[in-house]
Amino acid sequence: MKLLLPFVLFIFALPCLANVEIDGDLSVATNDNIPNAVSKTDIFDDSFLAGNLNVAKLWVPATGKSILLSGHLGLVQFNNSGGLNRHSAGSSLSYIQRMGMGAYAPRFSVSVRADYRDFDSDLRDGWLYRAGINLEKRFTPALHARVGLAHEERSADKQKATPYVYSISGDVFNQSNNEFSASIDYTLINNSMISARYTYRDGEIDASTNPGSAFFPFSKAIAQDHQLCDSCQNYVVYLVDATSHGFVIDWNWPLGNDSSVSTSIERRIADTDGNNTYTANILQIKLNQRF
Amino acid sequence: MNHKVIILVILLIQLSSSLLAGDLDVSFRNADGEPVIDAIIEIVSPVIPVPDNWDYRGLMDQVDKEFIGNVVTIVRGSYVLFPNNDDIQHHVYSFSDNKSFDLPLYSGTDTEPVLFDVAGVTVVGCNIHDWMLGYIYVGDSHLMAKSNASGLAKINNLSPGEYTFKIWHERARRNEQFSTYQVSIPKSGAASVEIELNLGRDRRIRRAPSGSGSSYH
Repeated sequence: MKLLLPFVLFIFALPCLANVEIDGDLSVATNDNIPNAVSKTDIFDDSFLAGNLNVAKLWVPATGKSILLSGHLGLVQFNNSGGLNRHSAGSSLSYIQRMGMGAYAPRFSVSVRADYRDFDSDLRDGWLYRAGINLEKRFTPALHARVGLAHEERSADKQKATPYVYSISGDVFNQSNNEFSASIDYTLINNSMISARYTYRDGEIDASTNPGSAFFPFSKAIAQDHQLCDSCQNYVVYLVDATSHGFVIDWNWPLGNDSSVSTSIERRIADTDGNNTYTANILQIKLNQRF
Repeated sequence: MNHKVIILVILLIQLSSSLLAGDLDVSFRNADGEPVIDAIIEIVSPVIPVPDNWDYRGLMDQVDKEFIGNVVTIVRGSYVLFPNNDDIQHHVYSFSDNKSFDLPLYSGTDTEPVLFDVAGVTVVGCNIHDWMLGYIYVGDSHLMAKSNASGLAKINNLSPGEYTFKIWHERARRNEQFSTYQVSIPKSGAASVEIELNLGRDRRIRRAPSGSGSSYH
């Protein structure tokens, strides 16, 4: 019920189907550092299948001003890391202001979003809240750029987490992050699109390892994490402060007017307290569909 | 002179004029030899008055988030209707020098037509769906034609003589846009002209989703 409530409430807010936008995506991906670990003995890779469905209602109260109310459903299924399997449901509200008229007018948007995520690993269950502002502009028919700032709060029921050490809190999955992002898209003459995106995050992350990790002295909380994967019976998960950099290159091919397939490579580099650095490389193929 | 003879002479003159008429066939190809659709030709010389019974109406529809009939040719002084037969609202606008207008968010076909009283090319867009792009070519002359899928633009029943026409295409390069050509129309049959256009890059914004979230509003 908690999972579906925000989505169901949103559906009842749709008085009519005019200006309703529906889009979805289905992807397969692989991540070479699932637990965000530093030591080679703790790192393992896995692949996963993900799907998302978004239903949005658009209002245009005045020229250049748009309000978008959206409902989201999501699903992620890992091959081996069953603890990270999850269903999610949520809503978001965005206000978009065009500073002028037409495709080349700069656009400013403010959005808030809340999703409830239900993991197979119960200690990870909880709400993810996100508030952000974006500024974007199209410079030519081919060139588009966007910058954004966001704040994210993740909440979880700390009662579900079993502390690893009784003197240290097990409340790992209540986290806070600030984010800056910048992206640029360029459409090639064959109508495919190349995108480059950079994301900087400053806040808290969770990393899972065997006991005795380099994270231990710098952890703000530690909990048992044996549900992460079948071979993770001894794993513990740490909450640490970190800054991270994410670089994504995406190549998108249109399949028709309202569908496309994209292939992306993402590299994440995170620096945590204690000069620990972990990296992750994620390769993804995604099918995008606008209904 | 006998009235019947006068009427007969007038009829004979009109009949001979219609018999003495040729066509102008203009074939447009791109640099690869492929036919070019939606290229416009307009007779600019001699100046021939628009017939009294000319239909000064045009139409540009909206279906499936596209302008249907996205290149429309009208004579200066015409009204264009923009019905929205889509299942979603649109906001049609133009900033063009010859005509600037704004039809705020609407749906359905109950909308006021827009007067185009200055010759030129009006670029039409939707303020919600950035990829929607249409063109309204407003000519001084009614003697205009638009090339079909085979690249052929045809103006029929021109009196024999020397004519000048100009061309337009949305992707024509600046040095080719509104180029003029001289042609001699025969007493019967067609004068054929072949024009190769070096088309520039498509100016339309890509419609297919990028997968990074909605980027049009």
